[in-house]
Amino acid sequence: MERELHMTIFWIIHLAMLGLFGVELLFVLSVWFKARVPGLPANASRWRKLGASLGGLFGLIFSRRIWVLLRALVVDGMVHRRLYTRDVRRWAIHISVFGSWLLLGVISTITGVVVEFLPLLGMEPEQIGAIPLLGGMFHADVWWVALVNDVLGLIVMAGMGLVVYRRYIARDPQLRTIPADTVTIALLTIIAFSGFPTEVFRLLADYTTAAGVVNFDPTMIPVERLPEVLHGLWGPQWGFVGYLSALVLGGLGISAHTWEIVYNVFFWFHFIIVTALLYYLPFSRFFHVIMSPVIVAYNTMRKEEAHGHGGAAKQPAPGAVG
Amino acid sequence: MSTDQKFDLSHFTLQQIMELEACTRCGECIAACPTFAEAQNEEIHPLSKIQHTKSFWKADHLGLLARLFGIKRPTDEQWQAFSHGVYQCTLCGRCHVVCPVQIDTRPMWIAMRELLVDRNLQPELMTRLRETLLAHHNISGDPNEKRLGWTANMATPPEGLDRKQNAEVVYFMGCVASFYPMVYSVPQSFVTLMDKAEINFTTMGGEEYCCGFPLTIAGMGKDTHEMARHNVERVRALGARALVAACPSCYHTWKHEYPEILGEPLGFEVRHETELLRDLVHSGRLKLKPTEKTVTYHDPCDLGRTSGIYDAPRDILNAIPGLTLVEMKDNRENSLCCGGGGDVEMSDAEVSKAVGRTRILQAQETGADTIVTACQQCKRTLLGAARTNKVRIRTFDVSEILLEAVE
Repeated sequence: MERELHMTIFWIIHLAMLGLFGVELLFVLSVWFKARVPGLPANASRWRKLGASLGGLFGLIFSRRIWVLLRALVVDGMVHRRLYTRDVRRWAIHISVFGSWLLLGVISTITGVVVEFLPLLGMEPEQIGAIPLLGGMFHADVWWVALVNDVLGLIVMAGMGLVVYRRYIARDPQLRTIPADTVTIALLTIIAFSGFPTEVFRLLADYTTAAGVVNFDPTMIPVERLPEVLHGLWGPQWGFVGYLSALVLGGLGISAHTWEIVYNVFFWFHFIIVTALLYYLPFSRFFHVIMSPVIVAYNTMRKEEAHGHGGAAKQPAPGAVG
Repeated sequence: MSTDQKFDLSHFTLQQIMELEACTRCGECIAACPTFAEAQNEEIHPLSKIQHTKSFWKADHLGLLARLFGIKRPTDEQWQAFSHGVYQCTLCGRCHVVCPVQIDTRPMWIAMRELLVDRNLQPELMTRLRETLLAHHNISGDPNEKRLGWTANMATPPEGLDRKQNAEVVYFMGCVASFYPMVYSVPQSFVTLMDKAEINFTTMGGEEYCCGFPLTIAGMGKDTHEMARHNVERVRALGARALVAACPSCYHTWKHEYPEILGEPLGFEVRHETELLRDLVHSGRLKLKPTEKTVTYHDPCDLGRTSGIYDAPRDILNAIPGLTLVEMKDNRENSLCCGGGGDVEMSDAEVSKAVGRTRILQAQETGADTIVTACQQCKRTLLGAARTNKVRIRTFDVSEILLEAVE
């Protein structure tokens, strides 16, 4: 019950913070509309520019061009084809960080919906747990959720390690590091490396008995958090990094209550850093995570439309003159 | 200029503001920038220009929030350094090619120059360039009536060169071809070829105004509108069906800028000399004889990367019997700049020369006896680079080498 209350408080604060972030983002975006919008006079009102931009966006969405855009969004915006063709090593570093963060973010968001919002719709934990695939996300110790989280976490950590190595140790000559880069990389690294301790302390808080012994058993978790329908899918050992670490630390004989406190400290620390990064987003280089897929997709689409799929400009028909 | 003047975001489009945010700071552009490779000035490379623009506008428009996240208003010295970097760019667009995000860099650099002109932070020579162009309608400041001066030493100049009514094609000569004797051979060769192919053509003679390209790229695009209107009206008055330019910058301006400036289609076709000459060769209107030469081709930035024309000049060269075309290490969309673009020759001649040196050495590495290009300004810069660096290589425009091969 204590953990449920804790998570509810977390989600309330988290949503409030997200709302504030939304306000910040709206403010920044409103300033963007001081820029010119093609086809409108420079002194047109921001509302008019917004209207014209939305009109253009909807026109694009409801046209055949959307397929070209979506293909470019996946191939160039998500898979980073251009970087791959230039340098496979750098592509691997970037995709490990970007791809893993993206997937972890998607999983966190879906988990939030499953755990906090489906009950608000009147669904019981057993009903939620019975939903194919989605139900498994009701608890982090469902085997495949544990496995995916650990694998992605490891990839993120490896990727961040390589980012730090390339920028600060190997000092790649084409990179330029300004303080804003360091702040962003530091926040990302802290998030990446604080994720596993948070997970380990949760496992210890959940599975430490009154005698101070770690006992991995699904019945240790209240059915409100781990419905019986998910017991067949239960498998924290699939999250091998967290599981093995918890086994080792469990030998210290520390009480479940103490582990719960340590877990809470790490949980909120992790959350604060994530929120700080979020607020810093429009002022940091990290904004490219959102903007670069959009821009590369749009510009690739326009280039292909102007020059054809091969990239070279279409030549005028021969013999048109002379 | 004063730091009190607020950053005017209207010099940029909404897309450009988004592109600034899309920059991943990967540094690909640094490795590709020909100017930075020579000058090693941190203010020059694209990454620096993007970072400065981004922080400058945020400092002015996001107030306390920006300050909270460590963004400070730039000082006068920072603005000056920014201006120096922005005007040392040759606008070659190589950064766009290597950018994993495909940021449309060239228009971005021009927008930055417009911003600097608005704050009166452009180099003094740009101001003088504007005065010259507005007063004389050409970049050299010579009397504009002498645009056909290059015909003076032609044995028999084609008839009807000066404003012949109802000619099918108007040849737009451009300022470099008209007023720089070093490249007079380019218009001379081109008109001879058109004459041999029996094309009914003319020029605007002394009524030709500069296309406005040097002002556009200097960040003074607003001053070009009158020139654009004048030029288009003159071509319409001559009743031509097409306009052909040998200068890639003029070609780009006519083809892509003028319809936007006028807000309407021009009413006639715009072609580059290489497109026309390729048609004349392929249709057999120009008969070619064997020529034993090994040549390499230099892609002018405004013809290749900016206008997307890579094949037409190569098709012409490959059509000449006996001629061997060898490519330089950096070719087509990865081609290096000759150093003659972006008005850099005016703002920093040394950097321009250094960029040209690198390119001419690349040409030398191929073992070719001739470097061919399709731009008078490139020819002029490469010719100068070859002479200065004592590189034994001939420098030709496509029209010149083609004329040598025509029966």
